[in-house]
Formats: sequence, C-alpha cells, structure tokens
Amino acid sequence: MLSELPFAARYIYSPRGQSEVSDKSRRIRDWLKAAFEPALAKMAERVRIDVEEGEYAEFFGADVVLVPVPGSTPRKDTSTLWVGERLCDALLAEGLAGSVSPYLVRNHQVPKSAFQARGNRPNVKTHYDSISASADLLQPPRILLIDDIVTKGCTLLACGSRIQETLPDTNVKAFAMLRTMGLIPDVTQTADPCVGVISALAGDDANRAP
Amino acid sequence: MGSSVMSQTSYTPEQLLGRLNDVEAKNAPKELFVAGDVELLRAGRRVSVVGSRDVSEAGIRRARKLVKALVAQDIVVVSGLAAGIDTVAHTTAISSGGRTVAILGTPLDKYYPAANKNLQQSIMSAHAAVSQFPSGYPATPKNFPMRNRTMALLTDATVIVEAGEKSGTRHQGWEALRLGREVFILSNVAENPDLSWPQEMIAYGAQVLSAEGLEPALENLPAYTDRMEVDAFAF
Repeated sequence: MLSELPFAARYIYSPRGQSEVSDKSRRIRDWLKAAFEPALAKMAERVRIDVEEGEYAEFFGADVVLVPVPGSTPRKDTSTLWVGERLCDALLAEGLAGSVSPYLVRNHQVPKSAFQARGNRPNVKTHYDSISASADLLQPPRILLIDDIVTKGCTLLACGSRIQETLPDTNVKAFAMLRTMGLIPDVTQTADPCVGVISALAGDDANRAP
Repeated sequence: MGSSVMSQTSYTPEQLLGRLNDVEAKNAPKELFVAGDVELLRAGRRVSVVGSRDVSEAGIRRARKLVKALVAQDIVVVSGLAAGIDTVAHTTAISSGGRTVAILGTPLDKYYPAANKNLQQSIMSAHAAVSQFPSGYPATPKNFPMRNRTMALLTDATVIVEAGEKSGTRHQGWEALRLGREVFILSNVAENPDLSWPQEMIAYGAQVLSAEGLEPALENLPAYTDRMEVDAFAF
C-alpha cells in the first residue's frame, strides 16, 4: 500500500455552510456529481488556465494517462453514468493529457461516504479490496487518477496503490476537482487551487493536506 | 418557450434541465407537456415518491411521514398520480403546504385513474403536471415504464416506499441508478425477505432509508437537476 500520494485540486466546498459562497460551492458539487456537461467543460477550462499559469502544471501533460476513479458501486452496465470518466473526457478535451484509460473497476459496493457518519466511512483497505485493475495498459510514464471529490483521500490512496502494484515504474498522482472543507463552517471562495499530499495513517485511514 | 396548446406548454428536456449528457439523453422523451408552474421543474430539489397501487396502512403512514419531511426541507414532491402511494404523496404534499409535480403515464387531458380527476386538476392549476404523451396518444401499459424513466430523469432522488416483487417502480429505481441519481429504499422494503430486487439494487448503489436516517439523507441530498444558472455561474 502506498504511504503517500501527491494530489491536486481546484475547488473547495462546504458540506453544511450557510453562506452564499458555501451554497455556491455545493452547486459545483452537485453539477459535478450529475456530470452536467456545460459545468464540467467550464471547470476543465479553468483547470487548463491554471496549468497555463503554472498551477499544478507538473500533474498534466501529453504523456499523462488519465484514469477515472470508480464510483462507490459497480456499474450495472456501460450505459451507467461514471462521473470520473466524464471528468476525464472534459480534461482531455482541454488538451491536458494524452489519453484516458478506464483502468480501474469497482468489483463490489462500498458504503457511500456522503451518507455515512464520519466513523462509518470506508477506509483505505475497504476501498483497496473492492477495486481491481482491469484493462491491459502498457506501462505509461505517468498516470493521473481523476476523481470528482476528495474528502480524506482513502479512495485515491487505494486506487494509487492498486496502480502502483501493477505498474511499478509508473509515476502516479491524483487530481480531484473538488475537495471538502468539512471542518470549517463556511468557505469564503469556491476556487482554491492546491497541491498537497494524501498520507496513509494507522488503522487503514488517510489524511489529506491541505 | 415551446408551443402552447390550451393550458399545456411543451418543452424539450433541455429547456428544463440544460444540456443532457448521453446517459440522460438515452431514455429522455423528445418533448414534455407541462400544465401548471413550470418553475417547479427548473429550480430547487425534487424527489420522486413511488410505490404500489395496493398500499398497506403502514405504507400510507410511511409515505405521509416521508412527504412531510420532504416538504419541511422545501423539496418538491414528485409522483405519478396513480392510486395508492402516488395519491398519498400528492395529497400529503398539498395538505402540508408543499409543492408537488405529477408525472403522468397518459396525456394531460386524460384522467387516469378517473378517481383522481379532481386531484389532477388541482395539481395542474396550483402545482404542475407533466406528460411526455401528446393529446390523443393511446394509453397502453408500456406508457408507464416510460413515464417512470422520465420521472427518474426529472428528479434528484427516488424513494421507494412500498413495492412488490414485480412492481413497476423497479423500472424507476434502475433508471435512477443508471442516471447517477440517488435511490432510497425504505428499510421495510429493503429487509422484506420475499423480495429479491432490493438487495440487487442496493448492490448497485441504492441506499436503505430508515426513519432515523431520513433527515440527514434529505439534508445532504444534492440538487442534480437544478442547472439553469450554469451560464451565469462564475467558475
């Protein structure tokens, strides 16, 4: 299992804040989770502008393969919405990577974090055990895991570990469009690009900084 | 904004939800006929309350409790105007001071079941009724699963209150999961050993909803379908 995974994110959101900005931040969350294409396209465009200005530029590039993070349950069939895949497509359309590969699959359901109390959320091992690497993928130099929302980072750390064990020479990083700010009551802005690290903690837990 | 025919106005789904992704477009109707307040289909959160026509007393109580909780959260209550759970959902929403939308399996100028004629007229005048079927379209059994898929498209979540092994509400649950919307199955249905479909649906993402879990689930419910502000939104 990886002990650390570099990550970047663009937006922040407050799950329960009452301010107008917190409410706006939840609109971003909702449009992301609905894979609302006009919103995804605008978010991806903003990421491309960030990269052009030097923000998390080392995460993207023509040699990067974008790998969508599986949702919390298996897809019943290929016509089922996969938000991570739609996000990858939007980022690819902005020229931020070379290709997209649905390399990881969820084999069985884990509880949805959004509907679980803090102590009941699936940990890194739970995610790791439910995810496998599916498709053949030639060892690319760089993989960027793409997720819609990162909370503590348990899912991303599990996905990164799965990739690292099958593609040991590939550099793996992660990008989430939105990161939660659950410990502060309100956010004062929706965009807050960051680069940080997700670290493994004891008890199969994870910590995200920032 | 579409062509007005008597008190109906027609809209494309995109006029209500913004551009659809291909998952949404797959089963979306080309046109939706709306009578009443179309803004109920454009802004805020909407939840489908669905279940059997032959409903138990306990099912009626659970549906009423659920609908009152939805109204308390200012969530629009959506259902199919059928007998049973649907009727309880609409009437409870109205009597609780909430807003409701009926998604019909018949054209708007038909009343089915006939016993709900007054309720349908009341909803069309003070709330909203929607049909994908134009006037004169024949009423056949296949209309209803089509209607259920449309209901899944137009709402942020579907709550299954009471349903048998062969209930048509299963169609809506599966379509909602396919679309990435939330699906909640009341715990009495999820834990019924005579039913096989709830466990399968749960394995693909449906959530079991208990009485204690109702309030947090509704508080955290995303507004997937409230999208009309996207062009003016500062990303």
